[in-house]
Amino acid sequence: MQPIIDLKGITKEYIMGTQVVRALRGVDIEIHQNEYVAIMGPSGSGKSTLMNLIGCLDTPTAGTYLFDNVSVENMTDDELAEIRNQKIGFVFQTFNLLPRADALHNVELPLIYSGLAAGERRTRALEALDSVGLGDRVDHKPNELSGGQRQRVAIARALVNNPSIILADEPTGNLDTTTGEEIMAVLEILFQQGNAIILVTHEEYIAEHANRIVRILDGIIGSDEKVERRRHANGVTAAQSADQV
Amino acid sequence: MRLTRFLIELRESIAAAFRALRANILRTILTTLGIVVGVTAVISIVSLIQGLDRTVKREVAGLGTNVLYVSKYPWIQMDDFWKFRNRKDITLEQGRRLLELVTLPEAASMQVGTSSTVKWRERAARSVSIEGHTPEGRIVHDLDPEIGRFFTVAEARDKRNVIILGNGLWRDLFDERDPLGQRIRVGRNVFTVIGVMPEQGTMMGMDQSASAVIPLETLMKLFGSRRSIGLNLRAYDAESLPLVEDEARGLMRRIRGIPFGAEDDFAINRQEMLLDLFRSLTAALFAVMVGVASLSLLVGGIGIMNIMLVSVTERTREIGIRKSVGAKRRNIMWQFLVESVVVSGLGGAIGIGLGIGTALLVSAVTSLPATAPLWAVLLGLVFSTSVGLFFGIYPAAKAAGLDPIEALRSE
Repeated sequence: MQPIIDLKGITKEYIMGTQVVRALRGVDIEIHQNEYVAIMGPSGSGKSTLMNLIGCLDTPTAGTYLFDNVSVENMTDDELAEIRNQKIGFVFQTFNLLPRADALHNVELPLIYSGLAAGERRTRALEALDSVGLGDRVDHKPNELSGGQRQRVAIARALVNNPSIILADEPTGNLDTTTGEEIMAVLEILFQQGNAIILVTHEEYIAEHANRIVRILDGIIGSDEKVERRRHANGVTAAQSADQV
Repeated sequence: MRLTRFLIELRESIAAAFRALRANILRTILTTLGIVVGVTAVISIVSLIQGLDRTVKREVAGLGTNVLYVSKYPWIQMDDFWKFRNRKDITLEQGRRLLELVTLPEAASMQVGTSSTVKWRERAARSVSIEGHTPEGRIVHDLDPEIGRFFTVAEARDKRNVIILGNGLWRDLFDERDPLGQRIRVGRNVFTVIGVMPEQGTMMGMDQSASAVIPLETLMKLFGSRRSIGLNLRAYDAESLPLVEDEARGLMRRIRGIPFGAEDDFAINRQEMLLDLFRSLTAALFAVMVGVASLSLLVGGIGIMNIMLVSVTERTREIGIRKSVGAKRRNIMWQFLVESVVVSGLGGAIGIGLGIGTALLVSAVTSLPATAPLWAVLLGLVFSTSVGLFFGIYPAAKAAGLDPIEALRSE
């Protein structure tokens, strides 16, 4: 089976003043459709750089990157935008919702850039919000929602366009433990439904929700192991956790 | 397909622009001030010029297109007033001779004027302009009474006290009652009303119809004969007007004994001269308007560019978010272009409102029929939005070119 993400010999260099910073020094990773991968590493390890490359927000200095069998390393900004729009759902630590737009509009945003008509956009966005348990909060603005609810709006936005992978960058970083656990439960459901999930975190117990942990150290992969005993997010379902909020 | 997609994206751009503008209402309004001033200036000045134009054209048309006015003073005096003042009056005798000698005009008449108080019973009208005409004046100036008749050659010859009232004067004195045969006082003299002129406009703020016509020689007899006569020549058509003028000039020089090579000591006036003067005045006004408008639009445009740069900086994170979920360069570009066009268009709309308001105020307070023409309104709108478009390009391009990673990282 073809991997969704296939990185080979990826390097990334930045020029900081006169110095060349080598953030990634030859990374090979394959990630398949049925995987839940945690990427770990201390700050400065190149973890964020790797995450930006996988998320098609950036292109590598050298190496090849096949996303769904399509080579993306030489794509233009607009072509990368198209890939992000169609195939990647982002969940960020700081939620990154548009502050002046309500939950529904935030979730509709990727569909707008897909060129979907208003009616279909609304239907799909409502479905996505329903699936994260926020069907009754669609007209709330981000500042009228709790942290956990905001992150769920972000998750709904991430999955509304049926992406190939969901890329979650420290999704629980700004949440308390209980709320964080609820978010992990939502991701668990998405994984059960067959979505590939890439989770960037520096917390061991969060990483243990995944079934594979990749550790980055000084720009190379330190270890890449299966998780023996997966942590299941309290066995709480998204629907149940929605009731608690 | 591509068009629908463009429209979907454009709708989002417009919605985003309005959300952003609503969040900063005061800032938005202040930003538009330059545009507001510029467009207000354009609309109000164009309205004023239009009003003036209409008034002047109507008034001047009343003078008759094909009529030459030979008189001591030119209508438009660019030189020293004393030079004209020291000229000898045009006498009745000189006037008669000219009228005898001219061959080219359709009709020719003489005219003098004075002003006096006119009374009927207890009613009085002050400073009424009393025009003395020869009988041919009826043809030269189309003086056909609406009620009654013009005076006859015999009445003129016999210097009879007969009077034709201007329409306004008639209404003032008689409240539109039948005036024919009524005796009225002009100064200390009693006149018999024989007619009423049709309604006319106002001339340079003076009501033309607040006047009355009497035979020229009656006027000379009753109000003094030491006055300069005006000689009015009506040409058959515009083509023969210069010929009539040449003939009149030659004859007048001979009659007044002006040596060869010396300057005329009389003036030949034409309606066209007033129009020319008016045209040069409005051209100057127009130039001032263009100056004020372009300056304030420039200032307004720079203001908009400035505020759009602020807006881009403030919303760097929003740009990052939009790019991360798939917004392309053109989406971000459009969003900020639409925003700056909306800001400037808003300024334009406010300016149009104020300009039309000014025009309405002017026509309410003065007699000038100032109205904003549609083309000026459209011009104002087109100008203001183009300013937004032009000055929005740089900030929008800056926003579109942002790196999504950097943008997401910004606070």
